[in-house]
Amino acid sequence: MDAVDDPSNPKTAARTKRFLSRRINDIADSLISPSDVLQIERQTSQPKPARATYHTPHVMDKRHPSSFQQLEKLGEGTYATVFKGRNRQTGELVALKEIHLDSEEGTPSTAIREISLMKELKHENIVSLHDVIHTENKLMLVFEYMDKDLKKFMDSRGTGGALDFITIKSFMHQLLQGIAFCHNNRVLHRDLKPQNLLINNKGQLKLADFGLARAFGIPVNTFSNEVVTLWYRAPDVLLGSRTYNTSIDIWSAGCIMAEMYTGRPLFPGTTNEDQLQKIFRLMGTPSERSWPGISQFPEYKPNFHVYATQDLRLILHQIDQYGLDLLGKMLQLRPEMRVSANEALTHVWFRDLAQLRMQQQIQNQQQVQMQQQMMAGGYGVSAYQ
Amino acid sequence: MPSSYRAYINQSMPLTPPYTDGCYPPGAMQYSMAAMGQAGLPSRQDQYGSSSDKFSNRYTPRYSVGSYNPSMYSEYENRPASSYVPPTGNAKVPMLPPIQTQNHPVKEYPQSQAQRSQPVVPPKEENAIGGVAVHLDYEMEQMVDFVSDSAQGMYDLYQSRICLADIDIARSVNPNLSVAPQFRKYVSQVLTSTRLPGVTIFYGLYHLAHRMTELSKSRIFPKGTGQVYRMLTTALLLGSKFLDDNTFQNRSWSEVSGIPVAELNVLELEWLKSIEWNLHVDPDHPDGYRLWEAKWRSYQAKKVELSLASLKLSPLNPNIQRQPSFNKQVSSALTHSNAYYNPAFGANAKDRLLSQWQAPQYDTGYENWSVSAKAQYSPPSAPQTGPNTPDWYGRVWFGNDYRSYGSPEATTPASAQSFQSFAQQASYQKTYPQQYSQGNWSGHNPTCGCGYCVPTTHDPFYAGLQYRSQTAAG
Repeated sequence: MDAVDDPSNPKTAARTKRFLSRRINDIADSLISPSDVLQIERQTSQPKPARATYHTPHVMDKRHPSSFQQLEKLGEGTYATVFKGRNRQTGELVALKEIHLDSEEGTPSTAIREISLMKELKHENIVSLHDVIHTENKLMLVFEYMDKDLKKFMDSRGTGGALDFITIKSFMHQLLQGIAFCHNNRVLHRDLKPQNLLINNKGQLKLADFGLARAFGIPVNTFSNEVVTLWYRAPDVLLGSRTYNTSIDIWSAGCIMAEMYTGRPLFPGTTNEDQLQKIFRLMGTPSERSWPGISQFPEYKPNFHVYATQDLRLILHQIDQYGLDLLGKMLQLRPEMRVSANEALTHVWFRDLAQLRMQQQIQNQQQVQMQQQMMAGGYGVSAYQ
Repeated sequence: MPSSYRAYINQSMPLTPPYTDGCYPPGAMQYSMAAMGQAGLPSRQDQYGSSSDKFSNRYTPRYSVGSYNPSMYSEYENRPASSYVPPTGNAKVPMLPPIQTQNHPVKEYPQSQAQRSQPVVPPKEENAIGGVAVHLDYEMEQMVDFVSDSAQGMYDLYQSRICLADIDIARSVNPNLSVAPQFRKYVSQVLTSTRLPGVTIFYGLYHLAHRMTELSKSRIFPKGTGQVYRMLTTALLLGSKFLDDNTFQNRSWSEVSGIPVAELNVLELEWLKSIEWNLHVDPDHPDGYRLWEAKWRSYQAKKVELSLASLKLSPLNPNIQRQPSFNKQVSSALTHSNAYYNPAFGANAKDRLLSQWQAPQYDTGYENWSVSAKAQYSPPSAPQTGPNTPDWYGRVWFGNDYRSYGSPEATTPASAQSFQSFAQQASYQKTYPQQYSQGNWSGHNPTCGCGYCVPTTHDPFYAGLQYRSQTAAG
């Protein structure tokens, strides 16, 4: 575990032991009700009164950057660097997203969107933003810590990236819950991909990176079609649509679902045209007959190579019938035909999820017990000195 | 290499910049172009331009003609093939379905033309001034009126130091207030340069109202005359950064508003902190964005009513333009326009009708509005009439006589309003058919020097400017 210090030091070991057992309890609890755990986490992560020396009158400056110990770098994005951090007071792990404030640009619009939207989106399947700390030339966003992203999680499985069907079902359910919450709150994520879905050791999946997100309740006329990483971009967006809606997030979710089965991206296009071609090759080339109005899209070409629709099962051997049905509903070429997140959550495929989780929970509890036994054996003497 | 082969390659990737992937299909060009931004363009032009003068000379005009002739691509063979065929090009070309190469140059043509013409515009910042929306969903002059009226009105309420939390600020704005001409000019400058979508403006106004209410609640009343400018700019800036996919740097906002960028940065962050970053407002909330949209609709309706009224009335007064002298007082001019005057429209309406009356008017009243509706595609936001050059608004138009109508600093309601309406009129003008020219019609001629004639003299010039600016702002 990340937080383990030198176990030869008795005091550290005792703390570690407490920490580990708390984590283990967390794991056990989370298998029953993740929201309970989150509740606990939220309570522990409530901003503590800042020390007097750090006190500033600003509402957001409850904390100073130095109240966090900066650990290793977790990643670097286009406008921010993310570090792992630890709250010096609580010991809680956090992710610190540092955003440089450029004197020409001002506050980046990505930061403005991410902060304003994530402050509203409090949900167990959305990474929670604890705090925003402003210093002279940077903004520091304090997020809850997540262990890895879905991409790394898949790569770490040693199965060529493919996941087992229970995990897929659980992750898809959580993903769709997160998406549904966004959509119910009038937010489009617009950049769903495995790298932006974070996983923690409790098997929770959470949506992250709302830098491209945008409120959609308000009519728009400047939607960009430069959204969503190419591989997860919906065909209507690839065709140049700027009037897209929540259905673009569903397409991305479908691509992610298929990727979890195979370990490989479903449509790894190199360019817009290539991307469309890869989609058509599998889903069939649409026509005015199958998609009335398609010829009106800016990027529509009457001479698209005509492909017949393939059976998704040919590439997703492991998928079951219900899963295939749901996937087919998410990967509809026509945006208006795509299933909504709320509908998808009621799909029959998820009906046995609770049961499957229960089974997994029993397995996990057995594992936990084994771990506890091992731990007790390892530290038993020194920990209680 | 056989020429047919090279022609094939050229057709399949004539515009692919050398530094993009060789198999990048031309259909995707616009994405890559947008991603590169205009900063990428000049170098591309260099690439083409420097290879041979002969080529670059032919290249540009052909693209501006607007029709495609496949044979023109054979011209490209004069260029060293290496400059646009990447080393792996041969292997990658077959990836494109051959059938597409016959068609795409035609389809891509207008785009290429647009891209070609872009390097003419100075890079980066000019791009920003090109605006957020290509096509506006509102009429610019009306929106300028609306925004300046609303912002000024709310600010007046705010500065009156009544507790804004007790009233409905958005609905309490005095409809008959007079907006200082320089403030309207500033709003016009900001809106025409940024070309924000309507929703962004309403969003900004919502946040402006909210911010003033909050400040008033905390009894914070910043001093200084520039406050309303600062607040409105920050409100629009935040609305745009939150809603628009193409956003400006604060540097660009600074240039267009005249507020130092460092100050804007501070204003922006202060604002964000004070609202705890909660820019996301329930779009269906009746007091949120919808309220401002509704206010805008009723504002528009009022204008339409007004223009319809003048349409109905003007045939009764075909010679209404025969106003003896422009040096008359505004009030006396009004008496000449009794036919236009309809008390039902109130003081504002009176002033607006008056402005139609004062401006050279050779057609029925609705001509103004139809012309201005067309003008939305040609914003006066181009280099000539950019952020720092709205001088023509007042001075050039009035020639040497403008002082007699009050200097731009004049703030008495009557002269300010008439000055402002008059300036507004200026941007609507277009060339009138010759038979309606002053000389034939009323005995005035371009050299007579009376205030009445000056505008006609300048008319074609400014109309021309506007249409040129359209291309540049594209």
